[in-house]
Amino acid sequence: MEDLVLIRKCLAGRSEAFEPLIAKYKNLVYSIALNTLSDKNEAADVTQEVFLKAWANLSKYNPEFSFKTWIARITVNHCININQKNKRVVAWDDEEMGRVVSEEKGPEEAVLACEKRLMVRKAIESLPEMYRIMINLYHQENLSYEEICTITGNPMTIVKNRLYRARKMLAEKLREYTGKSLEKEEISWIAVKHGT
Amino acid sequence: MDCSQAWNLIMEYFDKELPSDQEQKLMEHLKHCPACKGEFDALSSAFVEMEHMKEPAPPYLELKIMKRIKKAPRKGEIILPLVIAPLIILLALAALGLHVISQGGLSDFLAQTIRFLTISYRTFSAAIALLEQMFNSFYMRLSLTVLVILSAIFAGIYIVRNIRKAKTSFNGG
Repeated sequence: MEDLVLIRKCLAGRSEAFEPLIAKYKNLVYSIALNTLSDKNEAADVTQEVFLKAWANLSKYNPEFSFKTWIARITVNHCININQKNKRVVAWDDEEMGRVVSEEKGPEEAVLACEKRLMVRKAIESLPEMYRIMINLYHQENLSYEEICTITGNPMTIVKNRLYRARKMLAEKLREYTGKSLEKEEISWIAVKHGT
Repeated sequence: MDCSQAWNLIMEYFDKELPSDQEQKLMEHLKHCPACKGEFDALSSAFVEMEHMKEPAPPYLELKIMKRIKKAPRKGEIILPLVIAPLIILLALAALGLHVISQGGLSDFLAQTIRFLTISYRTFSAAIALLEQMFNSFYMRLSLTVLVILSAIFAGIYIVRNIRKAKTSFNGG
């Protein structure tokens, strides 16, 4: 059923019509929250709060825009507020990341995949918040430029510019990390060779 | 093609907007430029990796949210009937009181209030007497008393429940 039909039912007082909307967009909301906050429990809490906020303000929803971008916008703003309030630098739990990867692959492959995933995660996390959000919305949530404009409230030129810079910064970070890990491998190889 | 031109094409490539002839030119440049090739490969694999990093929301969330939504009515649902209507009545009474005070002073206002209360009481008593006469029975008085008590209890429960709901709604839980 179309989102707008469900929203009209909700506004008419039928709260059960909100359930399909939660089912449809909970992964998007959770994913944005997880990428912005890097904490699974907090992301789950934020997902609940975002849907409650959307429910409470449903009468303010503008049908000119899709419900998807509206709820994504609420999520992004909510997460930015939390980060500003806590004044924190997000950091992904290395052990947690290792566990997620080892569930998917064999032990050796898992170590390599885990290292790679950690490197990518760290590189993304090292980006300033607005660039990190752009990268996540475009490359992870597969949202279009138009959708990102609506979500972030920025014009197309700013969105394109930020994504351009975000990719550039990400490439530099990845090169930096790859260089460091190569250096580490070289040092350990020399240490093994000389028996130290 | 220099590296800055190549970088612009890399951007268009990741935007999925690069025409095939331009893509061929880019690939040709990447073959001979290890710096651009390094960045291109790093970004490509990072974006593929990001797809794998996606995690679904915990399955319990849906039920939990619905449970909270059923407890928390939307903004306006509580405010309109419970706050705005009594507020309008209070404001009207206050305006009327101020008007009477400004016209005849405080003593006149008090006299008018007492008169109004007396008239109201008399009207109410007359209505009850009429009803009593109409039904002419002890049971009528009893049922009216029970009705008034029950209405007061239900009104109390309704107000307390809605205040709790309002608190849940505004605290987000």
